[in-house]
Amino acid sequence: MKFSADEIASVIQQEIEQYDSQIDVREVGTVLEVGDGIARVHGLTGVAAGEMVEFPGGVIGLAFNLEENSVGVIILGDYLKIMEGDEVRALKSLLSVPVGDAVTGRVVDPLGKPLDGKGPVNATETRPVEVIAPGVAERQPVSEPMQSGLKAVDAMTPVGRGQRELIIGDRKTGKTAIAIDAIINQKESGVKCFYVAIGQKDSSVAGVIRVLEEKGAMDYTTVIVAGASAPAPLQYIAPYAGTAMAEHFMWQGQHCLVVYDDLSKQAVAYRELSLLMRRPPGREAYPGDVFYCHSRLLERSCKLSDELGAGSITSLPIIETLEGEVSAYIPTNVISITDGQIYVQPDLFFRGVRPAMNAGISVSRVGGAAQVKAMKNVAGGLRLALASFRELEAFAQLGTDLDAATQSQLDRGYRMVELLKQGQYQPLHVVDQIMMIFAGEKGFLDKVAVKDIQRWEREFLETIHDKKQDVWTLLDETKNEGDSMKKADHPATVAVSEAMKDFNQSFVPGN
Amino acid sequence: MSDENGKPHSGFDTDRQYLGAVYAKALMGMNTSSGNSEALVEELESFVATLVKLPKLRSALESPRIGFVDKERIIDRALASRASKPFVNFLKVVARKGRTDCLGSIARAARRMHDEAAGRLQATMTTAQPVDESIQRNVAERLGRVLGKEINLATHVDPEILGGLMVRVGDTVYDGSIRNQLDRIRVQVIDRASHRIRGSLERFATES
Repeated sequence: MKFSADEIASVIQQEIEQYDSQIDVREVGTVLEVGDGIARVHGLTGVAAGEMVEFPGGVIGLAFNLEENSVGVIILGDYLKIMEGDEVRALKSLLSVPVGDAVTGRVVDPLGKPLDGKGPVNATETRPVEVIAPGVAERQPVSEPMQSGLKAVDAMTPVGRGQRELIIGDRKTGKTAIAIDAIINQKESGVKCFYVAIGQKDSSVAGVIRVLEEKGAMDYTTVIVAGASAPAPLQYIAPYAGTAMAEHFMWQGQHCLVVYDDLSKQAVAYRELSLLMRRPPGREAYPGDVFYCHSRLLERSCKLSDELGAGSITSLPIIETLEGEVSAYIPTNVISITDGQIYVQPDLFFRGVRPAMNAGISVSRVGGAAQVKAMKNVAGGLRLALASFRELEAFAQLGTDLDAATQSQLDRGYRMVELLKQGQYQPLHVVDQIMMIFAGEKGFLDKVAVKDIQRWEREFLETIHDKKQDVWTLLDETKNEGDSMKKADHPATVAVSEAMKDFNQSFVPGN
Repeated sequence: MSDENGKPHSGFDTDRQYLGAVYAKALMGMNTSSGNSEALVEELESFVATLVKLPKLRSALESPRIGFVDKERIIDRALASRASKPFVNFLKVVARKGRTDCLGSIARAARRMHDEAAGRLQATMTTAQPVDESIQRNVAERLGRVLGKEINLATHVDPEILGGLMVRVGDTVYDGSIRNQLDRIRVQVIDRASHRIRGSLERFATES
């Protein structure tokens, strides 16, 4: 294919002919000093806080500090080309990003500029990056489930659409993996996903994008990247930009899932900016409004009322702790803002329990209302049972003789822990999950050796899908009934129990 | 005081600017009670201009190693016969407070406040080539009518703007320069042409 130069020239000629010359009225200031991603500007007397300004060469900045004699501007781009004495013009508009279907499937920076080499983002609409969250009258309680595809999460800390569930833990404990699984699992659900990478190594982000592409998840996912080498201002606005893109879909009545990976790095970027702007440092040198920085972000994740289309944004913020220290400043802040947390621990991770979720201290404060009924019925006591199992396990390590009841409780616990293990990037359908938890809870696995549990799970699910699809369909249809999998005579309970009994007879123990 | 509206001069300091505003306010307050503000502002401006011409006097006044008693003696000896009493007193107060380095900022701030009170505005006109008096008067008059103020027009020549003219009043720039028009045409044409090319690719692309 070739381009015809004449046609292009004629279009350019038309455009020049149609050009309407006007006097350009602008409000300007002068750069006094610039460095470390911020600039101090003299002039710009009429500029508003949060207003966009433009430096020569088209670099955009944000009026951040309005002082008596100067304006502190954070520079969203390359600040090395800006010189002292440069003219800065106020753009009279708030920072906005492109939104809509054009950004879906793309990898963009926090200003919506493409990073994936797939051409420009042809968005027709934009949304301001900073908006006030919907008020009380515009919301409704969380009521629909947002399936993460992980047995441990969906059974013990269910997440509802519109909920904020924190994923917290040390480095290298599988925090991102949980979030990525949740994104992959949205393939059939129609939920739009947004992965906001803040201060991450570009290699890790590239890895995440590759996985999403391999699993076909990029079709409905937008990745917003402000990597470790991006200036602090970009890292600071990245989560707000991602949320703005999600809000567009929420207000259209659609559902979104936003992953902020991670907010501790965003807090560090914000601390850097604030200190450079000479805002007074507080605890751990964070500025006084670092709580507001996160609360106003996470408040924007909500479930809209039916009159407003009942759209939702579910968010999975990630916080990295140091040596399991959850009582540090940023972790306590975000724990108190979110509607629950999934706590992942390195010792569980290295023992092979993956996802390495600590069932005792992980909670979901609102997700229970949104949980699938059948799952609620089978997994109701699971969290407490696992917690008491952990206690017993520690006690049993002392080597004392145990009575039969305690021993059976221990055996059940070992099997349950084994059952909750799940491979990475292998999300399970909720019906499969219900059957697995049911098998563990009702003792169908008591005769199966612990090392055979995962093979049992795999083979049982194969059998169900290949030969007994009717049982699966029955449970799928009745999973929202209050008695499903609870009463022994409910048809779904009967069918699943029968299937398990049959399968157990044909199951060959390994050696 | 062309740097108020034109390019910033080196060593621009927001702290000094702030101090300058404080002292200028005091000076103007003194003026309104004595009633001859224009004269005082002019005295201050000419003194600052003299300081620029006499760097030795300036460094003597600004030096922290010379005590204010000596500075007051210098001021008395240099100005007592030539300047008005209130102005000499003002200078002595500035010297006593060790703010003689801010005199330039004080003069600028005083001029601005005085102009503001008198309904006058400072404006800078930038053109590619020097222009006639009549055009300058015309621009000042028209601008004054639009803004409802008397315009004090300074001129500045910058061949970079190619043609047309640019007027700056405070922080607002009215830009009718050719340079600006060309930049805007460039952005607009690239933007619209690429949009149209994307919209109907088959019209622009030929097979083979």
